[in-house]
Amino acid sequence: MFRELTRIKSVLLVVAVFVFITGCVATKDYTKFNNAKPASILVVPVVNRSVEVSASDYFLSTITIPIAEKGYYVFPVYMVKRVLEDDGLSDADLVHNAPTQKLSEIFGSDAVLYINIEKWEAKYMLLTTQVTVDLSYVLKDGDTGEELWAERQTMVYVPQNQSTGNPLADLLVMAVNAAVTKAAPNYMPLAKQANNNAFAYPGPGIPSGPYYVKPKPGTTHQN
Amino acid sequence: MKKYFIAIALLSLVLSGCTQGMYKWNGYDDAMYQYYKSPVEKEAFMENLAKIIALGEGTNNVPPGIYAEYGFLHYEGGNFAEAINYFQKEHDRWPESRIFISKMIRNAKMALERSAGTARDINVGPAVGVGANGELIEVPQQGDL
Repeated sequence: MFRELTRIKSVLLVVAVFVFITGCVATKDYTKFNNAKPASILVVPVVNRSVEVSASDYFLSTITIPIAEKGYYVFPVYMVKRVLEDDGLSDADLVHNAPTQKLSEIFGSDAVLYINIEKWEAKYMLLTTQVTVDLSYVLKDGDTGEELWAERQTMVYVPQNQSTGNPLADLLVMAVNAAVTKAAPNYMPLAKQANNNAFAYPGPGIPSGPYYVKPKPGTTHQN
Repeated sequence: MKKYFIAIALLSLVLSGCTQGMYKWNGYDDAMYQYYKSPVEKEAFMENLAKIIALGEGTNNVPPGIYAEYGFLHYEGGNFAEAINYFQKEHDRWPESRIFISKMIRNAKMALERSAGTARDINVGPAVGVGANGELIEVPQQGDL
């Protein structure tokens, strides 16, 4: 009886964690999005609220593939960033505060995607290091500047330790793993996962764009 | 309990990781990341982009932005003729790119005329600027007037 209960509890917990991970809790209102029907998305430089100065550039490398694979034209992110920089707009905050319509007019984009890095950190805790990537996404209409879609994703990674059966050895392994993760935290898989979750549709993401073609069975995704 | 968490981790990997894609990206994301990490390795990023183009051209399926990105790296290197060539490909393949890329083609043509192929410190922008009140404005580039 009790064992049965524990089992149910575990399953419930699993479901709860899964909902948390996938984030598909509430359905969004897609009326504005569907009316706007954007074909092209301009991803402007990312505002970084973390202390990792390189986070915004690193993150930028992950954003094109998930959106292009949804069938949208994505403006070349490296080129867009450099062009803005060379025209005195190297401050991402400045770009985010500029009128969306003006940006859209200059680049000819249907919509503009604004991303903030809220957290990009590796926190050392007792015998473990917790890596966190927290991102907020807002897509705005190029013609009206209205918000078409918004999402927030938080991904947390804690290194898994396999038990050797020897408690002292386990402690050592944990300490080493924690130190290794802290020394060189790998944020990129978390950032990619956050994007995958954010854009998944059905789910919290955005519907497919005009270039979307259902891949033929048997073809594999080459990243 | 731990088993459940491992199962969840695996499940979410299966659900999200193995999406079948429309384009062959050839590690575009990782190549750009490496380039941002160590900007001296520009050649590696360029090779990666060239490979994506080669992979996609066979099936007329070069991903959006790749021709432009490749052209822009040529542009930065002062190779304006190649830049124009690849900007033009982006322009022809993706109608959505045309407003932006046309400006870049115009700039590259002017740069080509000016420098006759020599790399030089140039303004690469297509005419975005900050006005007196902090607003975005379109500014004429050198040679525009």
